[in-house]
Amino acid sequence: MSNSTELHIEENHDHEHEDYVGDKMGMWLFLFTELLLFGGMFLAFLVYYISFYTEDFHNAGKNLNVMMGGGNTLILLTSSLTMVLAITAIQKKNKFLSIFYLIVTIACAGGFMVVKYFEWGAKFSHGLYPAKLTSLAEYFGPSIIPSLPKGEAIFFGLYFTMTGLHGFHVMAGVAVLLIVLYKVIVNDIDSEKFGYMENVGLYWHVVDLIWIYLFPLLYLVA
Amino acid sequence: MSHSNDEVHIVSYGTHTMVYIGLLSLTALTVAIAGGNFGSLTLLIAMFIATCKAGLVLSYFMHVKFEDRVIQMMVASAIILLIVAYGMSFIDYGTR
Repeated sequence: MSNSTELHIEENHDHEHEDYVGDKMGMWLFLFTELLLFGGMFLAFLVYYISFYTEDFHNAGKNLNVMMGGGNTLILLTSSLTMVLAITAIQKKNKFLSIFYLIVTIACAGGFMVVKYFEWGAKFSHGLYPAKLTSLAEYFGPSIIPSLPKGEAIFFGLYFTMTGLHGFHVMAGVAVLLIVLYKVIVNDIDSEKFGYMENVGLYWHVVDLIWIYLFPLLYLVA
Repeated sequence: MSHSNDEVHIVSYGTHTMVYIGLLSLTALTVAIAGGNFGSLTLLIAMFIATCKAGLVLSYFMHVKFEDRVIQMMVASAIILLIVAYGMSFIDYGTR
């Protein structure tokens, strides 16, 4: 009896079925799989670093540019801030401020990838790229990774895999952030209905969280 | 059920900005410590600071501090699972 009353009320209130708590739980479950995906790679990195190739990892880490890594940390932290500010703005019914913060967030994500482009480019031009990519040899000369000590080769393998997968997540983040931007513009997201935006925000913060660990591990081991 | 506005906790612009400043300071601290000479402790300290930063992001930016008990328990169990996996792996490699 009470059940049917509730259903009736909900139908009157909102035609679209929405499950705010359920959506959020689903998002968190997905984020746990992300945590384990990267967690496994961090574990591999730490075990190789601590138990097997401490010296090699130190030497290989010296090839990474702390300025670029640090700059990207700054960019990602800033984009995390503008993401939550965009959510606060929409909750406070300030649509234009929200749009502004979303655009800054997306611009930061783009900036991160531009820095990554130059960073990887510099590595490639020193012959530091996966040796299986033989087609790159005509631009950058042969890969020097096979000639490195084993631990250094493993370091660069993990470096390219982890930052590459992380970069892929940044690009996926840009895609979903653009959807959020569109939804805010057409009033599909507003001060009453912002669950979608919050969940995209959660994803974006996980991308930031992963980088919080990646930066000291990869760039500062030297 | 769709939520109504009054049951949602809105975090203020100011709180978020304070968290951001905290995150920046901790990042600067990490870089400074990596430059110093702490030997094998450097990694431990860097990971500890990273975990503090992760705690800030989780609690405030990801809203876990203001979330339902159910979601808080879910997040906690995922983190505990990860810690157990890490702990067991390091006990294994550390005692070989």
